Amino acid sequence: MTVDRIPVRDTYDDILEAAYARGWTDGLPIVPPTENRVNRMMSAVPLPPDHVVAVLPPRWSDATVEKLAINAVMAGCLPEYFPIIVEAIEACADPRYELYGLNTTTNPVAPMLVLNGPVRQRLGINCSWGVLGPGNRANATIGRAVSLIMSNIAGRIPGEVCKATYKIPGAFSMCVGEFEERNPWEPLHVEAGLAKEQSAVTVAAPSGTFNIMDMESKTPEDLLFTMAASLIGLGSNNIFPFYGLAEMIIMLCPNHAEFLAKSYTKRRMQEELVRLARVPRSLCTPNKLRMMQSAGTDQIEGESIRVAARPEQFRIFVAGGLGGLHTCFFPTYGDSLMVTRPIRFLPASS
Amino acid sequence: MSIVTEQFVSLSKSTARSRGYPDLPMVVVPHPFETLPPERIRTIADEKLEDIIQQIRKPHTEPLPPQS
Repeated sequence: MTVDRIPVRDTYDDILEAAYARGWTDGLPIVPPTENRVNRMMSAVPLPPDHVVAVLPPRWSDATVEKLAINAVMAGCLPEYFPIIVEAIEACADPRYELYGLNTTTNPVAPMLVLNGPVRQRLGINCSWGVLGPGNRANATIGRAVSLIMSNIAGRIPGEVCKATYKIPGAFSMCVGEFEERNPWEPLHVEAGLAKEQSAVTVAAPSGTFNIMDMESKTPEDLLFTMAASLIGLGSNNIFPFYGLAEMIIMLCPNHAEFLAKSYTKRRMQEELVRLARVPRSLCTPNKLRMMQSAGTDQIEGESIRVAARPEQFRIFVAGGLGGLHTCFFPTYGDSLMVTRPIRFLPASS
Repeated sequence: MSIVTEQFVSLSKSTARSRGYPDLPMVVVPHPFETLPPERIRTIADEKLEDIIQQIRKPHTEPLPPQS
């Protein structure tokens, strides 16, 4: 091994306390990262232990395969999950994701993974009921591994360098599968240019969840109007002079998606959201309006302020349980863009 | 050199160290800045000006190898 070995008495309690004492955990118990377990984890990818997958800010530490594997073990991952984690971390280091900002900002924000392709069935990824909640090993531990990596390798230490005022509950773990079988349009990874049968991971940067309940609309147009009206809030990061690129992530429930598809392509829906989701100037405070004008934002149009000026800023995918008429809106914190990568190191059958 | 508000000193020092500038000159201003009236911000600028000039005049240093 290239990292330090730490001898501790061989009882779970002693190992756990040693991990707590060194600040390695998220506050919850971990699986001890013994040499055998870490080696088994690393064997899931054809890369040497010292291979640097990414350099992660704000500490700008080398995220080697070995360090990633240690965190994956601690999170409770099975080795089969490890190729996803390697790819997700490489995606997090993509400049478009702006990981330095994400890990240091005062905003509440944390990485979320969206999985696409056959890997979902193969590893039993939840795409449906309770997709953001507890209960599924793959979702829970893959998301947790990324969170531990952010703390232990990237250095996301609250107060010292991570200035998040609150953080969000999802910072412990956030990993969902797209319910592609109930998506009437193209799934996220196909949008990113990958083949439908290619497994992929997308990293996103949500600032929390906002439930859009609509059981009343009798037309897709009314439903989309309700959604557009739910994206508006004067305190939203999207109505802020310096975050003109911010994406707004909409995780449609399968039933809402099916209904909207009666009238819309995904592109048409995004264009309509640009047109509909806007705050009247009269509801904007004078100083905010002045700052937005001086920042030269293209969001101000006529007598209103659009929450997004470009259709691509609305990132739409499908997940969640059947039966409910609840769509999940994830506001984002700023200029982090979603990044998709193919998962390279899965066995051929996945 | 860098101008930082007092709540961001630890982050700034950590970032500077990670990027190879452990002795990056810094001038610290009050926090929060955004809610201060413009007159107060002008006063702070006047108070800090001499310090900022002195820090800028410090000799340029080459970055050290990044430290994590």
